[in-house]
Amino acid sequence: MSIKILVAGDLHLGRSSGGIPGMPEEISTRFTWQRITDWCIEGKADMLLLTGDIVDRNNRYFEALGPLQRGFARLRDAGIKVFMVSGNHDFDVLNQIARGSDYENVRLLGAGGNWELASFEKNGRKVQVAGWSFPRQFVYENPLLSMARLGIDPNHPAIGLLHCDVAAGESKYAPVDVSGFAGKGINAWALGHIHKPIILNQADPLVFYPGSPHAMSAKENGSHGCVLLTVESTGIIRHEPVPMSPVRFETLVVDITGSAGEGDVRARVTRAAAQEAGNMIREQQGLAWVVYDIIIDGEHRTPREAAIWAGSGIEDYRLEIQPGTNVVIRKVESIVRPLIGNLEKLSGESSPAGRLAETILAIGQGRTTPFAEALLSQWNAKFLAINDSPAYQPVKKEVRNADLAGQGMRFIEKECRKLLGELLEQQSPSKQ
Amino acid sequence: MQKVPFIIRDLSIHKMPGFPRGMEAYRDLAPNINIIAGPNGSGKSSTARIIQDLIWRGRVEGVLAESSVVIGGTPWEIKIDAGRKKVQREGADDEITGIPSPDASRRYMLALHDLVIANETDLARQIMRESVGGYDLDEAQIKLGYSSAIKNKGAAEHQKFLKAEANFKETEKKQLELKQQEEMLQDLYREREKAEDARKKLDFYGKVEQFLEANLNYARLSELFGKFPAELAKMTGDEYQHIVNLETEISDCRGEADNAETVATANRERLSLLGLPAGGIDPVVTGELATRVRELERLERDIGEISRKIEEFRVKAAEAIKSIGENPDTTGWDGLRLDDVGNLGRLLQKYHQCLSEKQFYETSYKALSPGNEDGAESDSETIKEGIKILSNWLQEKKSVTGVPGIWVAVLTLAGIASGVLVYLTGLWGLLPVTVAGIIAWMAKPGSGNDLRRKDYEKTGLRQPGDWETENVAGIMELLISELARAERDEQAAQSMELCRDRLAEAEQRLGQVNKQREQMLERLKAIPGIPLEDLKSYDGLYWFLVHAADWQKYNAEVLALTGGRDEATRQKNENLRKFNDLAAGHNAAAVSDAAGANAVLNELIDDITVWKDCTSAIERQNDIIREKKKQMERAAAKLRGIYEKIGIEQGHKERVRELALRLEEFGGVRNDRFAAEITLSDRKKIMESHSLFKENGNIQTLSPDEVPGMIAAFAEQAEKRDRIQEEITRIETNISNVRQCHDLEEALSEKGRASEGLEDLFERNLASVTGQLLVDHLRKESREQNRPKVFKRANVLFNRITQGRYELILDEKAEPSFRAYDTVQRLGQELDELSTGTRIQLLMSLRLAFIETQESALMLPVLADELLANSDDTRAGAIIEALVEISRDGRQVFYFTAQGDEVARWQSFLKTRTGVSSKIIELAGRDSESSMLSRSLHPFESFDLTPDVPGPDGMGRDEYKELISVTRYNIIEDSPERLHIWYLLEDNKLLYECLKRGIKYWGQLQSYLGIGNIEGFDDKSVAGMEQKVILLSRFSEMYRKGRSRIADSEVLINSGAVSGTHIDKVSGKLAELNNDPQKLIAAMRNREVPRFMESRIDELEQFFISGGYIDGRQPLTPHEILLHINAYISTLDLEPSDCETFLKEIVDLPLPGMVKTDARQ
Repeated sequence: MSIKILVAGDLHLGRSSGGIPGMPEEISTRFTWQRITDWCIEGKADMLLLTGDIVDRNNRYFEALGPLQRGFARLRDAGIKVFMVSGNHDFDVLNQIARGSDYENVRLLGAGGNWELASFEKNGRKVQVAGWSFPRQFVYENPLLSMARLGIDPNHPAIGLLHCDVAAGESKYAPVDVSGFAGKGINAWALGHIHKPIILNQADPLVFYPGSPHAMSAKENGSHGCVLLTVESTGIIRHEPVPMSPVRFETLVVDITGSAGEGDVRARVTRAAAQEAGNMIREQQGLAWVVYDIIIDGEHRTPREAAIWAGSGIEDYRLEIQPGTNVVIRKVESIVRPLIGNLEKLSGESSPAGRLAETILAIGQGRTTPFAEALLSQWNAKFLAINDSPAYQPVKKEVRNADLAGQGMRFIEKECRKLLGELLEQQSPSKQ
Repeated sequence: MQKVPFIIRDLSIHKMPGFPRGMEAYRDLAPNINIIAGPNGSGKSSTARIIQDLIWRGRVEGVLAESSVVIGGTPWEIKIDAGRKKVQREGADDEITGIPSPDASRRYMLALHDLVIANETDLARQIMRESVGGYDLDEAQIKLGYSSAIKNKGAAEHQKFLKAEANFKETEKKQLELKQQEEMLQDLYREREKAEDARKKLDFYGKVEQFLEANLNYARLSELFGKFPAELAKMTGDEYQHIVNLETEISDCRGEADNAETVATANRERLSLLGLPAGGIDPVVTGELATRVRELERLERDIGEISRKIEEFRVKAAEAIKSIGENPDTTGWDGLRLDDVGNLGRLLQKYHQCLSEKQFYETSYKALSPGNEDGAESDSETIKEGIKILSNWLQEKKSVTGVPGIWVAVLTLAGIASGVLVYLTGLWGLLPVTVAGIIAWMAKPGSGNDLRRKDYEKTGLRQPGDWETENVAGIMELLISELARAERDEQAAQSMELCRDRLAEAEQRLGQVNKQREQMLERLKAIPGIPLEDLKSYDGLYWFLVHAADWQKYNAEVLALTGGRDEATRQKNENLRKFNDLAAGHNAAAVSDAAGANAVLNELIDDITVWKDCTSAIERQNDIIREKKKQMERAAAKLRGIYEKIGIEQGHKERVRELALRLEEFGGVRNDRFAAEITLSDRKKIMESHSLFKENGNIQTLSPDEVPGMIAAFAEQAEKRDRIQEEITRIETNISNVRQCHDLEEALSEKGRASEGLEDLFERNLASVTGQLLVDHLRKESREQNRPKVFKRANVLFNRITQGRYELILDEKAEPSFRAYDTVQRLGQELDELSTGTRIQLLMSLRLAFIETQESALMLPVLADELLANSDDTRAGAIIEALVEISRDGRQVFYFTAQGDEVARWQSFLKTRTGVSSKIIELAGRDSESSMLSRSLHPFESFDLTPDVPGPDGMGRDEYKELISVTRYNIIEDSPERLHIWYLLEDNKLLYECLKRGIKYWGQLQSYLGIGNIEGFDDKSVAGMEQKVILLSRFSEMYRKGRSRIADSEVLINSGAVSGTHIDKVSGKLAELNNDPQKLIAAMRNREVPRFMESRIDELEQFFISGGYIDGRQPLTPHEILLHINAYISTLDLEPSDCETFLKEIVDLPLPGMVKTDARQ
């Protein structure tokens, strides 16, 4: 008889997804929390493991606790055990809840940054759970280094719960090296902190981030949910994703080459979104919102106009592809190239168009040119000026020189394309 | 292709407009510079025009001119004659090829006034188009929205973010406060528990206190109660009063009984005096007597009344008989029947009616009988006939005289009508007849008139005197009157006949009445005593019968009443007898009438009344005596009872009184004690039933004095409970509410959206800036590489003739224009901002460059007209230099002037120049003007076109530095181009060569060397200078990090953030802060410049930051700077010691010293 364990982390209760008009109920993480608890109560899991950051630090006082406690109560009433560790967001919240006597089914492991071992039994079968919780908001040390012998019984499977930043080098969120998970007597490590679902090690031990079960922004694209661990009677632990997020962010590249006009461009964009979303909902049930960042690509006679056409009115676009599932477009970005017969030939011209063509070609081929170099030098300064500008302090970027050069080149190439399209448009017969 | 100069050697103008005899020939003109001077009208302009005509036009009417030209060493002859141009090369006709189009000819003519006002916009536009290969970068920039501006805090996205963040902070703050309150809840719960415990204890000890108080009170009252006499417990308080009252009652009863006995005795004595039987008089007797008295009185009243009526009827009977006659014998009248009296009345009425009618008809008949009045002469019918005839006569008469027949007919009808009318209405009927008469009068008798006359005469009526119309009309009027009278008479006769008939009838009825009266008289005659004489007339008979009937009626009444009176008298006497009989039995005297009887009766009744009073008084007094005795016995018993109840011997009334006085006090104490006992019992029960009684059962040990202190302590704690509970409820409610809501989540979401918007703005801003960088770079590259030759050439010329001070730039805005770039000031300037000299230099450069680029094979002469006019020395020198420079390339220059000083300037300049051929030609004026040269030489003896720079003459560097006043370099403000070349050149001679060319700064030198050359410079030395300048640049860059540049009012204006309203105040504040922009922003944020908007401060700060005036970075320490500089020096091909020397000469800073070793090792 197998034991089914649902693993979730980084739910960030108290938050909701961005990029969706209004405040529909489904975009709140409490909706997904309800979905997770429902899923467990429906008998699909024997135990729920939470890997930290269940509550968002920015809304950790009341609004998140109400739904969390209601969920714990429902799980308690259904006889479902919950083991959890706290992360940097909820290090001071989960501790309080666990201290209370209302939820005997809920247990916080590793409070105060001290490793702790617990066990769960069902039908005579036992699963051990070890965990470590954030004792404060920032932890600069590797918690695995402090993992002493916990008395793990090698005869029973053991699962480790840890909120940590794997392979981040210097980090203030419990930096851990992936190699450190081995040799701890743990068969599967369920981690928290990274919102993207990642499997760091497939086995011996299994190391994975279940990711955020609720996609909150366009940065968290793709499918989001929990991970179901099935502890077989043989002791083997299988894992499979369980999509939960009612919101899904996706980036969709739409080639508009050959499109005739505004209507055509818009139709291609919306058609592609609808088609893509249609495929997606067949694969994932319970999707309420599919949010697209559209990138229009290809060649067009008037790239600037094509970008305008594709982007106009997107804020009002909303398609209900099936009852309860809506498709919206968050933004449209254009990397459309001007319609150029031979870019290489054009690059040979001693004109602004030639210079732009040359630059586009060079960047595309991973090369650079004196023109691009000169530009990049000034671009760096401009970027830093903007990044340092008081107006952008709230969204100030962490600058890494290596990234900066690449980012600069992307910006330069993109604007080269736009500018070249505009200059060639001037030369088109209709403008002469 | 190599261009060849077009050199005019000779020019002969034989004839031209204004100069019919031509001008003196120009011989051996210089291949380079030719100064043609002469007053106005001397032919300068004509000469210039002819030169251009010879080259371009050739078909000029009225001109005869010829010229010897050398083109590429080959002699050519050009002749214009009679409008035709003839060109020969070496004697053979030929054609000069390679001459630009005639339109370009104007650019070969450099006139001062042209250059001052010209801006060469067309040329600029053309150059710009060519530069960018036909692309419009401006348009693309605008369409793509590129800008170098950094979107500042004023951007909507930023504002939205700030708002969202503020909302989030506010919401978070509220929840944080609530969280803090939640954390206080445990304390509050504990405090509430303590307060509730205190409240319970307060309640319990309050009850304990009440019990103790009650207990104390009861004890006190019990003690007091025990001190009162025992008798008081049996008293009610009114015992003394009762005793007094009872004693008084006994005394009063005794007195009243004695009084009653006295009254009874007096009544008994009075009874005995009445003498009535012991039982008194029977009331039946007195009732009988009273009845008799009332009957007697009635009978006496009846007798009196009957007697009065008898007398009254006797008088009336006497009066009736007296009316008939004096003492008639009425003996037998008693049986007289008087039935006829009624018939006689009706007969008398009938008699008078008949008599009245008879008299009336007699009178009427008499009145109708004819008197003396004359009757009518004829009867009415005759008169009518006469009138008719006369009328016809008048009608016919009229017909004869012209009256229409119709009128005659009308008249006739009127006449007939008149008759009818008069008959019906009387005289009014004559009115139409009169009218008819008038009409008739108007008529004349016709032929029938005689017949009418005869007919009339037959009537016998009055005839007219003559039968004229007037007379006939008059007769006709008379007849009409006569007709009325005749008809009245006829009516009277009819009335008289009627009266006669009625009179006869009345007389017949009167006779019948008289017959009936006679019959009545016959019956009366049989009665005796009847006065028959009086009965003869109807009235006498009637009188007698009436009064006889009256007498008969009254006499009968008298007889009837007399019988009644007699009966009443008998009854009276019988009653008197019976009364007297009864009264006699009670000592009463006999009486004879009702009055006496009444008196006797009244006397008896009075005696009876006295008897009754006395008897009842005696009985009543006896009752009183008995009652009083009983009352005294009862009072005595009560008196005894009172004494016995109190327990005091009877009679000690004073003792009772004394006790009663204390009874109220005793009662109060007793009641209080009783109440205290009940209270004590109740409070004890309450206290013992309290939940805390058992666990605090030691109250017996409590002193009552201790309890208030305990209560006060508990009260103080207990009174907090409600407030604590209220606080707990409030917090719990708020927490519950907040747990149900999503305010913070929504605020976070909104902040997230705003943050995304801000990031989007960041991306767009970066894209915009990137695009702007692209556009700027493309522009620059186009400027550097794609500018057409004309621009490049103009730039070379401009730079050369300004000794490297300026470069030509093209301002590529919507309306392109040329600008000059000051290589020293690093400042681009509009044409309008340039000095006139520089402007002319720029435009000349453009013109000449254009000319050069337009020329494909030939280098044609340039003509300049008074370019030096009103120029100062510097400007004049520049212009001359420019012309000399272009002539060096082989181009022939003609300079025309009417000003002697200009000639002198040329002469002065040309002296110093070698390799430049020149010639000055003076044209004779029309008048006797003296020679220009002789007049103008003197003022320009000192004319010096080269800068006044002292030579080094063996001086050391520092010494020479002092001499030439080297400008100090400002490491913060100045750019490397501003660096004086002294710092770069160690060779004083080379420095002097540069200074002689006006080159003082690195920018100039760099520009000059980039375009031209100065002897002594080679690539290595230039590269060395460039590396030093870069080193300086790097040093400056690091030094400036974190250090603000100074700003002035011009910077403030350029920022666009300070309006004209505030500029003075802000500039003043900036000056006050030593032009430190960072301090200025801080001061402004501190509201030291009133009413300056916050958004504008942000904008100004942004400008300062983007312009490098504020550098928010951490300044580098000198040590850090040197570390970096040393590292950089290691990459240069310069000796570190040279670098150190170089920097130390420039930077007056406490640098810790440069690294002495070669960093490359």
